[in-house]
Amino acid sequence: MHKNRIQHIFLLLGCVYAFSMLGCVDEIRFNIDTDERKISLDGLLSDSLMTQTINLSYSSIIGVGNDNIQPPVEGAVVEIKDGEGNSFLFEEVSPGTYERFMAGEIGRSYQVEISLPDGNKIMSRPIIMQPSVPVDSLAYSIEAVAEINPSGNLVSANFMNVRAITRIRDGIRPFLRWRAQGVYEFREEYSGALNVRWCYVRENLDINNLVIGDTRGLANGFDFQEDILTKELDGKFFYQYALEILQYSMSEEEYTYWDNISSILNRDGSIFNPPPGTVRGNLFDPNDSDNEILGFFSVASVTFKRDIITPNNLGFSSIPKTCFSFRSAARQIQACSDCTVLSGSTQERPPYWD
Amino acid sequence: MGINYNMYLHLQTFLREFLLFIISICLLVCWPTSSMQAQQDTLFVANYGSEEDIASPGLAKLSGTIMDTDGVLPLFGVELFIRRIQQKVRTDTKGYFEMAVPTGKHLLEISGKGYLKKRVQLNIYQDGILNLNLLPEDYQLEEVLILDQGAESKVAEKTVGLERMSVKQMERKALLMGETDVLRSIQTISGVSSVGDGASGFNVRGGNTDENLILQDQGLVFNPTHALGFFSLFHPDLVSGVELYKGGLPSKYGGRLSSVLDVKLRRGNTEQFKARGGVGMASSRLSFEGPIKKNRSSFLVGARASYIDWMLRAINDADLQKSDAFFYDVTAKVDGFIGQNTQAGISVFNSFDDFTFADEAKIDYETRSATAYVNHILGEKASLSFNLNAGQYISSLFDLKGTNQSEFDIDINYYRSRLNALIRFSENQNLNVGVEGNLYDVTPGTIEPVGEISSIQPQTLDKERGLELSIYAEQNMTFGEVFDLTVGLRFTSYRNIGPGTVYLYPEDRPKDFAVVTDSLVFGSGETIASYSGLEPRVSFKWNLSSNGALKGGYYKAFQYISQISNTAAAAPIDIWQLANYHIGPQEADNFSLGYFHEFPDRGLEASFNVFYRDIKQLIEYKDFAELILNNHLETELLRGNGRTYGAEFYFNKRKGRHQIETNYTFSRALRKVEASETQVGINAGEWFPSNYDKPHNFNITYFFQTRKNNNFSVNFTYSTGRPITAPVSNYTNDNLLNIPVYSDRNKFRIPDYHRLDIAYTATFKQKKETDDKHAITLSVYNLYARKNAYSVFFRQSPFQAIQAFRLAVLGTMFPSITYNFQF
Repeated sequence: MHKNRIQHIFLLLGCVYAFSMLGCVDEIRFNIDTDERKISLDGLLSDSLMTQTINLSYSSIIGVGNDNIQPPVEGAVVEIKDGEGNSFLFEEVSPGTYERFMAGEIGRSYQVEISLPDGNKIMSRPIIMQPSVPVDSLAYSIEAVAEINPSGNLVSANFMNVRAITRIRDGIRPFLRWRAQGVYEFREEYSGALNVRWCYVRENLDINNLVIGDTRGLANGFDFQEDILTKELDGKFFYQYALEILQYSMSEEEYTYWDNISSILNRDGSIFNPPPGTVRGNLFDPNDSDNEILGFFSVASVTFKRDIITPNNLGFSSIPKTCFSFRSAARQIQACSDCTVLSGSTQERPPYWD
Repeated sequence: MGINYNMYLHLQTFLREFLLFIISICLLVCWPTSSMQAQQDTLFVANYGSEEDIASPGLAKLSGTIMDTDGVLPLFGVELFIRRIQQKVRTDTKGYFEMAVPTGKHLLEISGKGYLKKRVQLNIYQDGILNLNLLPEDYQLEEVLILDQGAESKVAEKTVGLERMSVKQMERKALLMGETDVLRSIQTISGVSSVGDGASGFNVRGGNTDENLILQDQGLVFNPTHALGFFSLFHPDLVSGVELYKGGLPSKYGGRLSSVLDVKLRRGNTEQFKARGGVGMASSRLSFEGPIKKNRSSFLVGARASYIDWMLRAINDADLQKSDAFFYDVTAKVDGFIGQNTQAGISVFNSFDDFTFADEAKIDYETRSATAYVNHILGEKASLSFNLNAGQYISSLFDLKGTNQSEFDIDINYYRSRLNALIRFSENQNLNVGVEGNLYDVTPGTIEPVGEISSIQPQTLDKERGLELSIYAEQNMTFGEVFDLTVGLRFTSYRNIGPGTVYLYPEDRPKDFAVVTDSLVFGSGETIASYSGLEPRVSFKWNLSSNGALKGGYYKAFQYISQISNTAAAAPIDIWQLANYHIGPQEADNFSLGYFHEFPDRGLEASFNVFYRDIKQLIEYKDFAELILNNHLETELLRGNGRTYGAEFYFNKRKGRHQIETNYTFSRALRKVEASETQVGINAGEWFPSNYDKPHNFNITYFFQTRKNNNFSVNFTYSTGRPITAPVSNYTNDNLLNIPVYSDRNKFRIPDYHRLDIAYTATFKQKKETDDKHAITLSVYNLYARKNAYSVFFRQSPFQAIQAFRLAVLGTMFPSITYNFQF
């Protein structure tokens, strides 16, 4: 916690100072010539009884127009083994995606073993599932931000900042990671509407975002607080919004992995940026130590917290109406007459919706 | 409690320095005058016996030593000339001279390149001693048409790789915001570079910034910059000049691998009160000087303060407008003669920097040093010098936000002393011997909560203490007028002193703090670890012709204190790690060879140098090393080998209205860290370029004196972009986080750097018979507004191609105006 905070503060100062000295950032062409692909794994075993998923793919190649093409690794045999000698075989449900309905057990160790079609193997180091730690409360604050839009006009918007507050119990200093998603109500609105439909739309709130926390530097008697989400208060909040937070409690090894990922994702070129490097996870090729396997097989307990947010309980009334109030246009405008086109949309009212 | 204790220490330090200052002034004012002193008069009378003492005319021997204004640097090649009898001698490398003079009255003219002439009316009827100090030409800022500023020509200089630069030379450079700046100026010297605009420190022949021993009046400087690296710490009005040793290192210096930057403060004026100052866009400065006792002792005091807040206010950003940036420095020096052969002085220095970003964070850092010195001449053949320094570097990082409110501190205290004796056996042989001690006391990190709502857990890393003792001897020999040889040896002994705890790790796997097998506890004063080593020093100069010389040198050096930093630019909060149980000293063998040639009539000189440095046990870092508040720092460090090599070409036209100085350096700086049982490797154990590897470096400065008092200068610089590590692949997780996979370390390079600066200075002199003057300098930094990349970083949004971004720290044209005065 100390290290992260100190580094963050210092990078902030370095960057701000550089900019104050008439610094500028602009995009440049940078030639990278490489054709190296490596196998990557993205998988999580949690203590929730649910479908557990492991994705296997090859990394993409940068600089030749294939920056996002990550071919799946098909036909692998994927199984998880626990410390008690049990083995759980996963089924390939789509190319490169392997699933099994199961739950991990807190205090037990797990590792993944994969046999690839070419005969090579991938293994992870065993990881013990850590005790779960619940989010005690979520705190909200509203912030007005002005920015210049692509048309060159100054526009302002209101943003909601969400902070997770976690009470540290029994001297356990967990390593935490948060995921966030939300559900909002969307009502069709169009000229001459006769049978207006209401949709409930689920959205991922942490795309391309990583929030982790290290509670080791926290003084005794204090709650751990972390800013986990900033979201624009747009029309999605007009009726009500269900914010769902997943808090994962993970091992120190996994925290170090995500912490290193975070440091390379948040590079800003500051004069005090430490150098980047390749982040090594807990995966390896037992037959070839030089064969680098990307990603991390995560073993973490999870707790869940949902808050229903309305303009009233935010203490904020100037929220625009849903339809036509989104910044991005085409699909939302189409949704004004057909809300089912929205990604993650359903007309089935969630049971927790008032 | 911690803050109160710190305040107490600050107060104690201030009182101690203030007391020393007062005592020294009293001493210098009250000391009795003797009849024959090395006075600073332009013409003074020296009496040796009287006409009645001699039966018949004959010869008398006059001998003595000519030193620079500080009395520290003996002046070589100073000419002593009696015109009437056409008798001329020159001082040797130790400033010593002897001449046989017909008894009687003579006018002795004393002149040295770069120094003000002095005339002595000799009434000599018996043997006598004449010890004098010469003032540098810069001292009076006199306008001269022929601007030959180097203290020595490069051919005459005996030490290979020694670069001298006067303040006047620095003033010629068109500099950022019109500020005369020591560090930026020396970066125009061949073989000296930095990682980019605004970077703290400098790199000599591919070395790290911490491999430079930086001294100001013999006091150590750990962070030589203000404003996180944009400005130099040294007050230009108080500096007499700088010496940069990048090749042959004299035995009296040690403790760093790459170079020594010796910044000397001036003595105050011993005859009259003077003031100097300047108003620039970033800071203003003011200094006063004058006699304490006329012609015997003087004081010099100067201060500088910044007002760079206006830049923050000018930016349309609410947070920046609430931010503050500020620095100041204060320097004071008293100096004088005590008796006939003793010179003594004290200088104190304090600099402070503060940068606050809105209500989020703040950083402070401060350098303090105090130096006392005594130089004493023991008859004709020997002299002694003694100096005692104490200093401190403190940096603090404050988190001002909510429950994270905290203060993180790093603190280095040092005490340093050196006794040096110079023994002159003959005109062609002398011996320099001495002892030196450095005691370091380092607090590598403390974090304390600030305020009642802070949830930060306090933590303090163990203090570290190290004692470095050195003894050295160096013999200088001149063989005819052809060959000069200097042979020296320095022995260093280092102890890491307790109290302290050493953690032990398995010897068959890389060090990991999770696998500590045992620990050793050492009590106060116990030796935790000790290292020692011999450092041979050899340099020669072979005069191949009257205008050409071949020079070479070799030296070995050990470094017992290293800056722990894995960023491209050193940061104020980087810790300095003493050699300890796990972290042994770094060591380097340095070789230099160069040919120097000059055409004195035309004022031309050129040189070609090659160099090679072999480094053992250099410090490298694991990927994502945790360097802050880490009690197991050894688990994050890697040890390897390094080598730097290259060639430097220099050409200079130093005479006439049009002058030019140009240099080109080819230089490589490579490292190799192999995997072993106790550590992981880097880049599969292959050689890779260091962060400072910039193969091509070119500088050219053109200087034109338009009229007697006005001049124009143009400066162009080019260098290869520094190495970086770039993403070569990526993979994605379930929330579409694009995770880059990086290349081998430093496999790519940022774009090349080049920049053009211009400056015009108009000087107005009020009275011809005085040196009162004022000057206005207009300068433009980065004339064609090139966005030189300080760094290149990469971003990728979901489903988008990866994008490369360039951060240009001074990515625009930067005009400035500066007003300087002297009266």
